Amino acid sequence: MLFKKLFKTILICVLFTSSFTSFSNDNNRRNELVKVIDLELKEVTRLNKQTRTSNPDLLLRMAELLLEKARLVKELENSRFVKLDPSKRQKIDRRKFFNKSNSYFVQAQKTCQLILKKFPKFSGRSDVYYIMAYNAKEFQQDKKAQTYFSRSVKSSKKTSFTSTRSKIALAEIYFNQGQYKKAIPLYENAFRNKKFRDKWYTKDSVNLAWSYYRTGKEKRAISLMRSAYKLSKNSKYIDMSFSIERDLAYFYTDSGRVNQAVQFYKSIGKNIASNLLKVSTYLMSRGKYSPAEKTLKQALNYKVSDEEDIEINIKLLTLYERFGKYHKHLMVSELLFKYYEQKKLNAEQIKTLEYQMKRISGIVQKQVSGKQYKKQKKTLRSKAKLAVGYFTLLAKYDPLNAHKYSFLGAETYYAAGMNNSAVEGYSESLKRAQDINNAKYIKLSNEGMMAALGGKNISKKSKDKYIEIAYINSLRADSKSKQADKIYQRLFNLYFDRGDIPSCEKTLISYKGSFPRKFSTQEVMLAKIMDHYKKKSDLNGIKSWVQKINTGEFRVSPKFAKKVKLTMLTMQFENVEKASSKGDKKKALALYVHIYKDPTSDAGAKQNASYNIATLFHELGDTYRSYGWTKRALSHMSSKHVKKFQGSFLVIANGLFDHQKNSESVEIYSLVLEKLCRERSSNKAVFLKNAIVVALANEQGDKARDILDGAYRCNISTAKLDELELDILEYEIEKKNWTSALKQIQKLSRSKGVYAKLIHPLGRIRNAYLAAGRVSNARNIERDILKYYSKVRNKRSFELEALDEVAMIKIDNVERRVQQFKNIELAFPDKKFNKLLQKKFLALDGLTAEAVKTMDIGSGKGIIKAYKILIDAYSHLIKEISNFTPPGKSKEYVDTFKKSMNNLVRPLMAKTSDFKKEAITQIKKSKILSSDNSAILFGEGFVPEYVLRNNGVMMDRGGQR
Amino acid sequence: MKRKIILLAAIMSINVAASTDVAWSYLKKSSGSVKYYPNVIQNLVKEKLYYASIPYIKELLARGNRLNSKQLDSLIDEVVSNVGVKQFEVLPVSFLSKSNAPTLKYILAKKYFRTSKFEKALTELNGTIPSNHPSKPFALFLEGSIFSITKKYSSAIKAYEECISKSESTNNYGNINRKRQLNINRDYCIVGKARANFSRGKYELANLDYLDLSKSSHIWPEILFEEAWNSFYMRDYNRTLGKLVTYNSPFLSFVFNPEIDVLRSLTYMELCLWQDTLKVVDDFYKENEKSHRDVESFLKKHGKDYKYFYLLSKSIMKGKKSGNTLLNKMLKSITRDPTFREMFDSFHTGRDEFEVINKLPKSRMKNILKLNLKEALLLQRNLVGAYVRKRLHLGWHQVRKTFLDMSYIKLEVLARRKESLYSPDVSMNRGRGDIKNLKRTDKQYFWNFNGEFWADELGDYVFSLKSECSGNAL
Repeated sequence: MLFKKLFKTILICVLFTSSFTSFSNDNNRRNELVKVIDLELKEVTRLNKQTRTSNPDLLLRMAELLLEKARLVKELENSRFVKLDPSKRQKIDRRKFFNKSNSYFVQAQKTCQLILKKFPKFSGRSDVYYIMAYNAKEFQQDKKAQTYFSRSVKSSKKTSFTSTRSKIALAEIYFNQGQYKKAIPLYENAFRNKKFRDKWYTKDSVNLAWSYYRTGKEKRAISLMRSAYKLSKNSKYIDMSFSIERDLAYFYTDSGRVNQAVQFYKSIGKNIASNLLKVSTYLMSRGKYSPAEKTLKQALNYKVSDEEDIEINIKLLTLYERFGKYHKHLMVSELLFKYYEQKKLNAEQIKTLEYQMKRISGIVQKQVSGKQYKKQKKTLRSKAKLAVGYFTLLAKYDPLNAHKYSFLGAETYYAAGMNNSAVEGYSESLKRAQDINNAKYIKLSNEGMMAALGGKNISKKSKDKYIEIAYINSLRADSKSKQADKIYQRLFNLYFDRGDIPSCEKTLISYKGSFPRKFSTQEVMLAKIMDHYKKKSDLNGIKSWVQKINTGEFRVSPKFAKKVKLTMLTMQFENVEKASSKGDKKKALALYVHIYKDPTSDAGAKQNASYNIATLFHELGDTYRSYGWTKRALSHMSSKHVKKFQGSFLVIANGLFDHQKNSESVEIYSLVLEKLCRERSSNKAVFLKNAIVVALANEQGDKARDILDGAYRCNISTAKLDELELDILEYEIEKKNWTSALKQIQKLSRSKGVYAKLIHPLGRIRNAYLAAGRVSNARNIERDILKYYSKVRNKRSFELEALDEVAMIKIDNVERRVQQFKNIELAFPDKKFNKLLQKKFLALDGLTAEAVKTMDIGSGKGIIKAYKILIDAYSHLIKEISNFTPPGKSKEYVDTFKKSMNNLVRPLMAKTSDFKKEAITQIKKSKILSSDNSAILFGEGFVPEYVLRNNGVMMDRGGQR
Repeated sequence: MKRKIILLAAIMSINVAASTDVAWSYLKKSSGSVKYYPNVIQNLVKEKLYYASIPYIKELLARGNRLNSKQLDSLIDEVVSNVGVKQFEVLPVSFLSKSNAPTLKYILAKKYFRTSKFEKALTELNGTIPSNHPSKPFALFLEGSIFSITKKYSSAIKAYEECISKSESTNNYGNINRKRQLNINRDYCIVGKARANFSRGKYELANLDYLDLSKSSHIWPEILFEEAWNSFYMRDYNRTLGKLVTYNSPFLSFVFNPEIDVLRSLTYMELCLWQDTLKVVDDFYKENEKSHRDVESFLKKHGKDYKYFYLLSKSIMKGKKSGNTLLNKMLKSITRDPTFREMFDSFHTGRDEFEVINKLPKSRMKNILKLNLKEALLLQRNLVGAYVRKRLHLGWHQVRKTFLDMSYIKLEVLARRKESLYSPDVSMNRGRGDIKNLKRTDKQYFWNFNGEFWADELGDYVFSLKSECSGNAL
């Protein structure tokens, strides 16, 4: 029983704790209470120990105390938390901060769970559930709280205190959840037990009244509310009259019983409008904006003074703000602003109006600039106008910052794509900013103006009106920024579009001053000017710019400079080309010469003119002038240009050669080659060869030599160069400049590829040496010939003359062996004879083998010569053997000897005959024309004879007699 | 003189020998039955060998049929009067009901009383004990108690009044022990009247009745507590405190009653003297918590070693002290208890019988008597030990219960304190005193006895504390 009583006390205390906040020394009181609870807990714990946890009442008490302590500690923690610095508060770990109170809640919960587990039939379990429910409420576990309150209601006696409190708590949960139908019976049941009515009865009655109201029982709701209103006057109960006055007003208003509301307020001496205001405030706090608006509008009907009108409209302002009804908000703002101008608003109201205007203008502006309405153009424009409406008000409200608000308005229009309005706005803000000399806003306004002018849908009217000024203003304020860069370009374009080229030029020059390194932009502008001049065929206009470029006054990229010059050239040559195309070469020539001689013509023009003149003269067959102008053109031309026109130059040079202007052609060839030397061109070899061949033909060996020497740096293939070196070698041989020839051979000996071609010239030098009796020199050359011969693998690559030379050297050896063979003379006695004969045969074998080897060289002359030698050698031996008669021997002996010798001679003779036959076959088959053919064909008795027909003339290779 | 004494002793022993011989002859005659046991008992009683006769009486009650001999009844009465009721209280109801001996009837009634069979107890008492019988005063006290418990207060008071007069008029035959018992019985009957009036809510009458109890009474110290309760119920809290403060007197240091502190704290609480209340509670815990635990282990340790408890009480009576203050206090209180004293004295008187038996010539009867006496005395000693043990257990439980009471009182005080902190207005309505008035020095709460109390003033002291409660106290 003691505990039942205590439980009630605690419940009362728990309820009282909520009203603690109003105490000034709350924390001291709470601390004191915590101390008392600690003592209680200590005592209950002691009791529990003494009874060995056999008394659920004690456990229940413990749970109650823990819950109570938890709530008090939480309140202390809350009070500490609220006092914390906001920044610190944000960073704090709330779980940790409220750890202490939480631990007590958890302990209370655990104790309750222990009771229910250990004493499932405990008569006081409704109280246990009640605690658990409160605990759950504390942790915002509304569902759990609801369950436990329900259990508490079920397990308690219907008329008990716990049952009553649980019903009210449960009803409150349902009420807060909006489940009014469930809340009503619980409240009604709980209220039946009048003895447990506490001071919160009025508050609970208000809840019940609201529940009635929500379920359509308006009469009961109003009746209960009025009864609660009466009770509120009693100090025994919590005074709810403030909310009741408001709620009743709402009930009456909402149910269309405004008269009754008026009556009610009159009866209690209150003002209807002010109370409807209260209702609206309450409704707004509940997020019911629509009824709040309705109430406020009603209130407007009952306003009795400007003050009330202001107050109601201030509320409406807030309401429309929350409701998002910004158009209405603006209307109310305008109305209130009128009051403001009449100085009827108090400081707080002014503050609210200002805040609202600033806030909504900000919101709407944000909406305009955001993505949300980007596609809804109509809405976007409407919102922009709305925002500007606020900014207009704000400009009036705060004239010092009027420029700022005008600017913001312009910005809003700009964001909405309403560029024409934006320009006007910017213009206004610019004007205002200039009035107060606000550099920042002057700059911003200018920038904005320009952005708007550069935007879409800008009307011509607006553009014409503002753009030039905007640009110039902007550039005045800032001529070096990125923005200025753009503006210069826009201004330039503006002038250009107007065809105002002088202004364009001024702009360009000014731009150059501000952005000297922005070549590309400068060039773009210049190009436009040039184009203009070009279109207008204003050569002087172009010339003046070309001059500026040439003097370095105006720096442009080389490419652009070239382009400009080209433009000028094009213009210059335009007429010439016309004449040329009409076949009027004379006129063309005259014009070209005029251009060439014109002191204003630049190098390019001169180059072009001279080239064209050279070509024209060539075409006219004037080789002399063609040669001269070609040389001139080449002197003006860069290698690249020469490369471009190399074909023409080749034709011109060939033309000169054709007209036997060999030296001139050589000069042109060599000059062109010199220009092309470093360029990639297949014609380089052609020019070189032509130059060398023509020079050699013109007996300008030294010139040829010089040209060839100079060509080594021109990246021409070695094979080509070697070929030309061989030409020079041939030239030297022809000129019998043996030493120069040998030097040339020496030079060429570095290239393996030409070895085959060196043998014949060497052979000719050898022959010259031999002829001059310089045998040792000839022998050295022979060694060289054989060396080169041996080093060339592909024997077919040799010229026949070269093979002849090699074969002749080899034949010389064979001939020397023949001589040695012939020197062996047969003699007797027979032993000696046999030995000598054997020796002779051996020598014959050796020379036969070498002769055959010589034949393998493939020289026709060599082959026939070798056969001739063999036939001679064999014939000599046949003859010697046949003619030998052993001296001092008997005939029989001699006959026998002769017979046997005949036997020996016969195969030799057959061999000789075979040699002859083979040689003849070779002569015929291989069409060998050799001086030795006669000896084979006719023997030694043949004498050559030249028969000239048709009065033929004997000439050498060079065509000379 | 010495010779005379020796002669006298010799003559006495000759007489004893004669009676025991007769007893022996009857015993022999019985030859296993109990037929001649009344004769045996008679001869033994004749020689005042009461303890030695107990086994024969018990056996006769156990084995014999219903005893219808007035002579035997008077013999049993005589034995019970000399050895005390305890020896027979241990017998079952069926044995006891065989005899019509008034003392046994009294014992039987007491047994029924203990088992709350009040009607049966009354039946056993009604007309079974003659008005001049020595046990009549005791029976009347029992009767009064039964009436009181059964809320027949008028009958109870009547019985008590008769008890008072009988206790005073009954012949004690010069026996000091008997006289003391009768005085104590009378005092209990005086208190009984007061208790009956208290029970029926007539506190004023009860108060007057309590005044009838002389301060010199053996039971006055313990009854003073009841008087204090009565004063409490009379809302005379200062008187209550005054009576309770008497227990702080060195004269009453032997009193063990933890409820004294409970009543004191309750009284302070009623006076809204919260700090005083809490101090009493805390002091009680401080004083007894450890001792109480020690007593528990002490009792567990000695279990049912009755001999130990007997020897313990004996040593306490000789002035020895144990280390545990609570135990000491309890033992002191027990050894002053009339029941204990009666049993203890009876045991010692029984031991005197040995001397008588030892003087007998060697015979089988002598051996048998010695054996019987030893058995009876051992039982008596164990009964004493058991009584001590039981009282110690009771005391231990009493303290335990007091702890609970104290805790609840403290909780109540704390709850009220808390309530005042939660809502000062509400607590004022409930009669709460101003918190600042609670802050006073110790001297104001408790009386210091040094040189200010006189023994004759004990129990008459009245506190003059002002209630801190502004309204009606609970």
